[in-house]
Amino acid sequence: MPQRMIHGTSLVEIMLAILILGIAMLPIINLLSRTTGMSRQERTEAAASSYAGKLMNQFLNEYKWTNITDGFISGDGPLDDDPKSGIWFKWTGVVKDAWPITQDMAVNRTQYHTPCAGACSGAIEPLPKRSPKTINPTFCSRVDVKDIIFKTIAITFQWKGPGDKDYDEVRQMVLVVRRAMLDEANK
Amino acid sequence: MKTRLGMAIPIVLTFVVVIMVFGFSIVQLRTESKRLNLLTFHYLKANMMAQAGIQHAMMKIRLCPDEAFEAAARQYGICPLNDNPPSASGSGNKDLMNIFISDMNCSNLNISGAEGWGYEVKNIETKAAFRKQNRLVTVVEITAEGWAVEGRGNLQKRTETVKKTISIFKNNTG
Repeated sequence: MPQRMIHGTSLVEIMLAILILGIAMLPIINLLSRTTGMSRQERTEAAASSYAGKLMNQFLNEYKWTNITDGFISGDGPLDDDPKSGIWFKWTGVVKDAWPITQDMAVNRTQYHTPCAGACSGAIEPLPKRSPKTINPTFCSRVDVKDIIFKTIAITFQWKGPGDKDYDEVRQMVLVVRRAMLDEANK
Repeated sequence: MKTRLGMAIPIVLTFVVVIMVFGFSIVQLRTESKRLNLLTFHYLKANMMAQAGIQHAMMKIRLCPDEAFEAAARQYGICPLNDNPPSASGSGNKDLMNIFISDMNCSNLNISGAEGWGYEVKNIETKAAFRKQNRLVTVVEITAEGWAVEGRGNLQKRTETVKKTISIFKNNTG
């Protein structure tokens, strides 16, 4: 008699256990599958920030001044130029004049005086503000310069990872930098 | 025998608890990873703004090398009109440099999505001055601050500082 009762309890217990396991596993499996998908998103986002930083540095330091044309710019491509990566980037942006050559700059000079032997105590000349075109007309009229010596480069990045059908309008990043014409300036 | 028969539910409950802890750890990790990406984006935005400040300073120095040299020499304690200056103390008059950097800033980029971003050149400090052949050289350190706003993740405004050291020359002295 006690033996049969024990067996009956065990069966009910196992059925209950299966029920609990089933109820508990459903949200957990759901959570895990969602998490796997999202961690893929994060990997794509991490790749996107790296790609964006690299591209902005190219605009800042590598591309020739004359190749950064004013107006709208755009581009796209896979991660590391490898379509097998499944991660794609798309960027659109605008390049515009950040400091028109006729816009004044604050420029003063030391007033002429007998050169000091130590720290300079000579007065400074209250020169009127002068524009780049007035300060350095030869430089500003060069063909390469095209009347622009300082450019704002604003780029919006979008990305899509493996499994994404299209670029997500929500997941995007704007980066802005300014580039001056430097090494070319004294040519 | 009796004690073993009642183990099914405790074992399943323990298993479920372990799986749930594992699941929550993964969610936590994911949240952290997402926040890290957001922080990287935010850093990039502010850093690029600070780089813009450095470019602004360098643009003006390239355009006005004489004025930049005068300001740098004067704040180092050297008379810019003296072609053979004695060694300087390093502390001079900053008035010319303060005027020189006064317009090296931007708080309105006129770019959609970049409202509230900007940069400012905080300081151009003369680190050294010396003669190299027939040229007087000042070595200056440009310090630019850039900031950007990120609405997501309660990040708001982030400020980054970038420094760059360059030389400014005064030609044909002596």
